[in-house]
Amino acid sequence: MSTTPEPEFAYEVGAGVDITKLPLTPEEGVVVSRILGRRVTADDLVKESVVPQARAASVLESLVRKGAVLRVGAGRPGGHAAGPDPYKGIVFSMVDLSEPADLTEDQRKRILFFDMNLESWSHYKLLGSKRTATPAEVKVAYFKSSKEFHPDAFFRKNLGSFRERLDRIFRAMKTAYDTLQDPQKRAKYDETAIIELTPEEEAELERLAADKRKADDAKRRDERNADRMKDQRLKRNPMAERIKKARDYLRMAEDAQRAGKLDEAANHARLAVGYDESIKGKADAIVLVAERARAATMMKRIQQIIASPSDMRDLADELNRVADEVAEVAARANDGPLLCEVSSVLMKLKRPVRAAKLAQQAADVDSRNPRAWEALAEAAHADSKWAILLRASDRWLQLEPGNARAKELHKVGKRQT
Amino acid sequence: MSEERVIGIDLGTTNSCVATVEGGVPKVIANRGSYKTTPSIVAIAESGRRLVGHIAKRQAITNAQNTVYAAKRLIGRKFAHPVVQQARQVYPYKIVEGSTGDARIELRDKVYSVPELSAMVLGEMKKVAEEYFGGPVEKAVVTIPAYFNDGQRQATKDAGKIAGLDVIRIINEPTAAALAYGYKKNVKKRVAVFDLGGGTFDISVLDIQDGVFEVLATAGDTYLGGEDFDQRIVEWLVFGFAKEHKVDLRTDVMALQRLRDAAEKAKMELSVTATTEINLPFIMSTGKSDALHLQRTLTREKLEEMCGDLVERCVEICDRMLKEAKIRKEELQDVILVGGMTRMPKVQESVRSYFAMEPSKNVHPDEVVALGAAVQAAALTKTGPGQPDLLLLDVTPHNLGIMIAGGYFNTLIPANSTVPTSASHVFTTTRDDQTAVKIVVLQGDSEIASANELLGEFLLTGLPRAPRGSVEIDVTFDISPDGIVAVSARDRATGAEQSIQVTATNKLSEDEMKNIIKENEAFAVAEKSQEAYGELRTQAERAVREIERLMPVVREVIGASDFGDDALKKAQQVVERAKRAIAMQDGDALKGGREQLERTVVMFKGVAAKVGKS
Ligand SMILES: Nc1ncnc2c1ncn2[C@@H]1O[C@H](COP(=O)(O)OP(=O)(O)OP(=O)(O)O)[C@@H](O)[C@H]1O
Ligand SMILES: [Mg+2]
Repeated sequence: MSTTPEPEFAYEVGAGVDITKLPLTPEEGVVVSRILGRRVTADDLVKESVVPQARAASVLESLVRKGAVLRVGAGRPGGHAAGPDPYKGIVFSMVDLSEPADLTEDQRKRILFFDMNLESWSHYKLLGSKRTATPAEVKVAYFKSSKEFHPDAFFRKNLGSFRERLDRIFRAMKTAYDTLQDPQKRAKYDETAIIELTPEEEAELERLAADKRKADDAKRRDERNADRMKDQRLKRNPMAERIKKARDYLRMAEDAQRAGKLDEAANHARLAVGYDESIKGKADAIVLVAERARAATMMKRIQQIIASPSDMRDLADELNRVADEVAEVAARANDGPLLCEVSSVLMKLKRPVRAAKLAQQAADVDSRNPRAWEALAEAAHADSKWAILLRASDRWLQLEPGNARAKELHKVGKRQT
Repeated sequence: MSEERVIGIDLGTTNSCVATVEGGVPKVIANRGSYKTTPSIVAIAESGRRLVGHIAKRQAITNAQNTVYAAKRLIGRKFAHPVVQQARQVYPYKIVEGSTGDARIELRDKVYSVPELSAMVLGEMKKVAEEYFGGPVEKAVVTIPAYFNDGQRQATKDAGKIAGLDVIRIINEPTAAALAYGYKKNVKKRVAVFDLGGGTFDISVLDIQDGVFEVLATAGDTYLGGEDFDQRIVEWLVFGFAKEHKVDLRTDVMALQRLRDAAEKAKMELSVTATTEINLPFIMSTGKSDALHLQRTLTREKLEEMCGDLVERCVEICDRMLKEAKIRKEELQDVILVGGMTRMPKVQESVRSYFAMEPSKNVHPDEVVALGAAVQAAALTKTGPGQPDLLLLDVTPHNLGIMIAGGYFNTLIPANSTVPTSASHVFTTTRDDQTAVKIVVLQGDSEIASANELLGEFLLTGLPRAPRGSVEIDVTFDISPDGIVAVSARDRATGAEQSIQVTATNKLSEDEMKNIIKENEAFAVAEKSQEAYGELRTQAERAVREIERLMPVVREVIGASDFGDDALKKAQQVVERAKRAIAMQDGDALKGGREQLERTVVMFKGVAAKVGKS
């Protein structure tokens, strides 16, 4: 496939990797223990008879995949596609190259090259990291980039206009690193960003995906087998048909949920319950996931609207509607924190009665949550329900003895009753 | 290629230490007394002389009111701050309110800002380094507790400036310790640094790899340290004594200072022994001619019981930090102990059991911070081609943000963000035709604005008249590698930009700064000539002694002749004049008479040599 010989990679255990927590085979365990604290090549390991020549490549490959070791020694950041002339086809401005600054020509070119590509390069390319890199590998790449582009590498040097470029580059690298280090942010980024891939990376990604598919298929096959056996047992049961249908719907719901189609999942789940009451627990859980996701989106919208007062006037109606919807979900889900949050939103919308109801429910869910009592007290206060105010602020004070607002409300409650 | 002289200074609550990197090796510079650390103590003697370090410590008991220790606990703090009010109760020197609401210290009728006092300590460390190098040193990296806020950082920078230092960077103490720990050792680990010193506690977690030191998270308490342990012992002694003799020792500053010294000594002894005697004879006189003595036995067990909660607090802070940063204890590969208090067995034991590992014994708890500062100083000022030997990626310890409607705190840059960093936020007007907005900048960890540290507030004026909500103002917050905050604002429509200096309310004003620097310059000059005077005086004294010793011999030889008599008389006069100048402390007269004295000595020696009686 490739004409150049396999480059000599070195391997090491990344900082913060707890190898005891990884699912390693005994053979892999031995190899890792010999890599720990050093940087070695496959050759070294073979020479030290840690692993036979024939096994070295595949064991190391598997260790890299499991995140136990890092492969180091690959190309420079941003430049792994670079050939002999990394700047082929680029014309640098003489103004930039001759500006008085304590920088070599190569440094200038590197900085200009990175700066002009900041918008177009993916996080991976910017750090010189592979699309399949583990978090530990991303860290190595980021450290390497930082050493070259961190402002401290040019401490108190005269950089002229390059100072600003450098700041920009380092900031972008930091963002790239933060994104790729956080599994959630990275997953989202991978989904939305345009990422250039080398053929090798594509192949590797494809292989990883295939592995996963295979594993999933195997699992599903096992499940199906188990179901089939159950079917046979159910053969003479008059309810069998309905139960089977319910189960099918439930499976569809689970599949949809796995695929991220939450509303669809909820729909299937509701249908499933129609056929078989006994799976209500499982089905409700799926419905709830969908409703919560929806509530979270709506909540975000509410916060947005509240944050910008000009939108608020126009969108009061929408706000009320959305808030009602969230309130309903929160009530159904018996979700204490969400109830509190909605309650406080309703207060902002000047609807203390509803707010009080939700706050009461939040307090019922968890009577030790001061936020619930706070919400109830505020709502009762706004609605002049003094007895409730007294009770709620009293509870609140018990939970948070020093709270000034609680004291204040408690006083009001006492005075009024 | 000669290395540039740059130093690292650990400005501690109790002790300060200075280090440098020579030929690639970091080393501590010992002071004149060949001590590697210098007490962070400053005093004004009765003569008005400034005393710093060991001399200041030695006279602390007899001059308690004018001896300042633990000034770091007050730096960058407002007078009204609860910890300052608490300090007023326990420290023998007088703490007063400065013109900008900051805490200041009054010594012999003169009020000093805390940075001024810290500058005296920094100046001393500078001098120690200069004596070692035999030439001036200007550039320094100074360390501070990681949990210091912006005001405390700025005040420390001010102190450096007053001391005549170019503080090229302020770095966090635990980070500095990690730098020294990992410097050139090809370390590749995730480590925790547990730093319990005289005044503050810090905990930081770092990834060290390929010469890069990445701080993942940091937390601490800037008012938790050895001083608090000492205070517990002092209270125990005071109450015990009050019970027995019905006298409150705290009313006597000298007694209090003796108690404090004895408490610290006992605490240190109990790190190696199981019991210790505290013996303070004549601690107080009752006025009825009989004196009271204090004598008690303190056991390690009792000490641990009295201070258990302080140690517990350190562990709680560690636990909270790890949880918030989502770091599991098992991921840590080493725990580094820093600070004198980590010698206490109970502290070591708590660390061992909490982190479930044996802490590293590879660093010197008193020196490692200064060494790390020196390492960072050398790395920053490294000349020549190539990438730096080491790179530090540190974080900001507190949330930074602004106050929003309802008195809440809105975070713009969260704690544990890598510095340098910046964040922008769009603000708008709330009234029609509003031409100015007020922005309150805060730093801290509470959701309630008022519970955080106020960094400053500013008015952005000159906005175009427009309906409310339609003006867009970009406000950018910037945190420098020192952890110091700057704010700038831009009106989007006009593009008009305004940089705003966050003037912390407890900072020295620009004018005050200038004054102090000038005063200090004057002082430096005064001190120099004073030193020169000392030298003149010893020279003169030596010459006078020599002349007087040789006088009988010379008189015997030349006294008979007229010429000789004249010469003797003149010599007598010269000696008289020198003695008078010494008595009057008149440097100029001494300088004027020096030549004559020297000539007389030479002449007398010559005569004596002739008769073989030199
Ligand atoms: N052997 C010992 N046992 C117990 N405590 C000790 C011992 N040696 C020193 N200490 C205490 O350690 C403290 C000083 O530690 P250190 O010099 O590290 O602090 P510092 O750097 O001056 O303060 P900080 O870092 O908090 O500003 C003092 O309170 C001292 O009493
Ligand atoms: Mg210290």
